[in-house]
Amino acid sequence: MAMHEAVLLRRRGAEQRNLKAYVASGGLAALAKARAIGPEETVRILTDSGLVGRGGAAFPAGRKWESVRTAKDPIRYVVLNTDESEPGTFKDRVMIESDPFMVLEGLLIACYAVSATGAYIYVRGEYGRVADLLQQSLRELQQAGHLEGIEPQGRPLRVEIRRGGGAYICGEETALFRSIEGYRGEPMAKPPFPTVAGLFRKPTVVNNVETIANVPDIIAFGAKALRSRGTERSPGTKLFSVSGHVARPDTYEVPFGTPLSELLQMAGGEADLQAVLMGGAAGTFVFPKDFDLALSYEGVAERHTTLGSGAVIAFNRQTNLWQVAERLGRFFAHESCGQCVPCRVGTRRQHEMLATLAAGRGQGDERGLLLRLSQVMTDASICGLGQTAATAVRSLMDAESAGLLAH
Amino acid sequence: MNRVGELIDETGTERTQLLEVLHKVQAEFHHIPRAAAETIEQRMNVPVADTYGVVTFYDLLTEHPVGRNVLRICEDVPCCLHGSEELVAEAERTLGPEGQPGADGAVSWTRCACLGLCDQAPAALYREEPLAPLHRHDIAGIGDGHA
Repeated sequence: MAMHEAVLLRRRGAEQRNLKAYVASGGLAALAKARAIGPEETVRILTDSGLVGRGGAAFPAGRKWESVRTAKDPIRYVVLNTDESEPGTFKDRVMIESDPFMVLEGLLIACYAVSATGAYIYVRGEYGRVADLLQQSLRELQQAGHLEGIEPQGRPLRVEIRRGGGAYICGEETALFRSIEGYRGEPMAKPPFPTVAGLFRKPTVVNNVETIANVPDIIAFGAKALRSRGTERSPGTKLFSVSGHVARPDTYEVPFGTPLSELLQMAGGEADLQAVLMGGAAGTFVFPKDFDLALSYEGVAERHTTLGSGAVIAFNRQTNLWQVAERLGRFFAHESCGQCVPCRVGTRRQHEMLATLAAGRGQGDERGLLLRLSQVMTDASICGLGQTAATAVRSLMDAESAGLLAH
Repeated sequence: MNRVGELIDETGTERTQLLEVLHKVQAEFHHIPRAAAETIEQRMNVPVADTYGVVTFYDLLTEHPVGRNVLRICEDVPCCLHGSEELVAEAERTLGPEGQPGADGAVSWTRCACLGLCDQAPAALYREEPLAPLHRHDIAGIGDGHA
């Protein structure tokens, strides 16, 4: 088994986790460089690196930044999406716990590059420790004067940490804006996209924690730094949260292109796994015949699965995957925001049918109904929650037809 | 409510501060009392109905009183694989019905969605701090007031 060099997580377990230690190990050099080369060049390096969003949607980060950088409105925001709530996902927590300053440096570079007039860090309400750590680290940066000279009008940059209220949907960017604004986190139809009309209807960059953690190295060492790892089409490394039936559940950092089987081996996956759920509740089940798949955007597309948020949940052969699907169904029914009918009603009906199947009391017509329902939810829901609420169920039905289930 | 007025003063009267104000009210009163919503209406210009629309949307805010100490037990997939169902049953047995504090108002428990502690499954939060992995005896300890 190959050992992979930690890049994003290289300061994990470091004895000292303060600003002084961060600077002594090369920290803040990227922010200084960004300031020396200017916003336009900073964004160009990011675009050239090929960095794409790590929250699940894989949108090119440089394009987002460039849209906001060149926006006409002088009021702009940067939002760090720390609402990590996809079941099975804990990489952003580990990232911040390991290296809060690298995340904050990335955020400050983003603010500088798009001439942001303010920044918000939206931390899920259940991550109290993470919010405290960010607050304390931010204070150190502020006291050392690093929040000066970023805001275009010369004021000290205002970075506010906001606690979420306990709602999965607020990880969806437009719902997240509503939540910061003081409303129910109900997603809005896109377009307009956040880069045009985001937080407070102003041009806004929203980035995931892992995405922003990649920024300092890219700016400090150039676009090639990211491209020296991973694959041509998926440059860099990726954090995976591995849980379930593995001996060492943890966050693992591997270069894109690493086989899934290797990741499972690193985590001590049981020899006789039945399946893994890739990408969290909104992901798909993957079975041993596909464990050789390459963990890259092109590699998962080839096998009709997704990296999603980087969640990998492993199941042994004793697991009844219909019971797992019932849990996923319950999750979506609980987390649907309720504003659109296909999702509000669809997730409930889906959960009822999954509960019936999990209990072994199916009447025979559930699968056909689930399939039709999944089509409606996918086509007609406003946001990604409803659109993906049946993805895992569909993959489970496919696997059942192919005879891949142990139960 | 004077105390709610103070919390609004220290946080801000802008609509964007509503969630932050509600978090503080919840932390002190263990729910959002009607009188607090009325103070918010007067001071922040957010109608009572609107405030409760927000309160009922978010899991960490409650319309009815919960315990001064809340135990949140994750019931999503990774925790379920590690026995969260038995822990939920134990909580029900030891601490009573979900969401309802005992007569002394000390403790209540609730099921919750993934806490992002799947590497320490089965996971829980107690007083908003991770309690993971959660064991049956932890629940008994909470019930006895020892945790």
